[in-house]
Amino acid sequence: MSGDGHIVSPGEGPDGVEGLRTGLRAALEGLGVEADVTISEDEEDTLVAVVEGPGAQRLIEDGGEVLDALQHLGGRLLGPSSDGRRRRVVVDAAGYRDRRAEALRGLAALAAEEALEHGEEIELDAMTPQDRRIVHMALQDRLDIVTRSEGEEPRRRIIVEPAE
Amino acid sequence: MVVALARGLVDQPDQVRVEEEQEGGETVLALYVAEDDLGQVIGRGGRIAHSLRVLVRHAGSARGVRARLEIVD
Repeated sequence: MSGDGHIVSPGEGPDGVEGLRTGLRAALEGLGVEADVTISEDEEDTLVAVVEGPGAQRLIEDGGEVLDALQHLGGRLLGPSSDGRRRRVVVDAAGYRDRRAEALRGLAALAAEEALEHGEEIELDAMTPQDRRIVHMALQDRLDIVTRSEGEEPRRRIIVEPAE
Repeated sequence: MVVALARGLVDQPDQVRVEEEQEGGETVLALYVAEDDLGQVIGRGGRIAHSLRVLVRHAGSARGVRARLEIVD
């Protein structure tokens, strides 16, 4: 343990990732979910924590409420890295994020069609910042549509409208 | 769970304390943190508090009890 003079205290691992891992494990234990967490980094410098195990399915019931709570806390549990940045954290289980992103892209396309057909703004339900990002990105290449966000968290929502 | 999560969120982890009370068939977890750390467990628009409450509710139902989190200020 000692001898080489290198001390890493809990929660202060490289980029604070250990704090994230410890917190997520404590939450899973508290929830009585038998699963482990694997944390990796994607190409956009986002930390992706995947929960795997027999209990993972339980996290995505109730519309992903528990998974979203873990993800939101995850972002705060991750201490700032050595250069002071705060990285995005995604918490996933049982392929839920991919399925949700697909559903959100479908919703974005529908809202765009509706906006064009009626020539008016379509207001979507309030969403988390992560979900809004997916909707914005789904429509960002469309020249005939613009999107923006309105309102304050946690009621912040996307408006989809025809481009001028 | 609440203690571990709250300790990960605040600047003064040694000030984190959770008291468990029974209130009319409901388990109430009272979370105490240092005054300067209240914002860290409540969050913008109360989103951190909301996330903690979701987890406490689900942790309770996993044990067959109704559980609620109260953040004491």
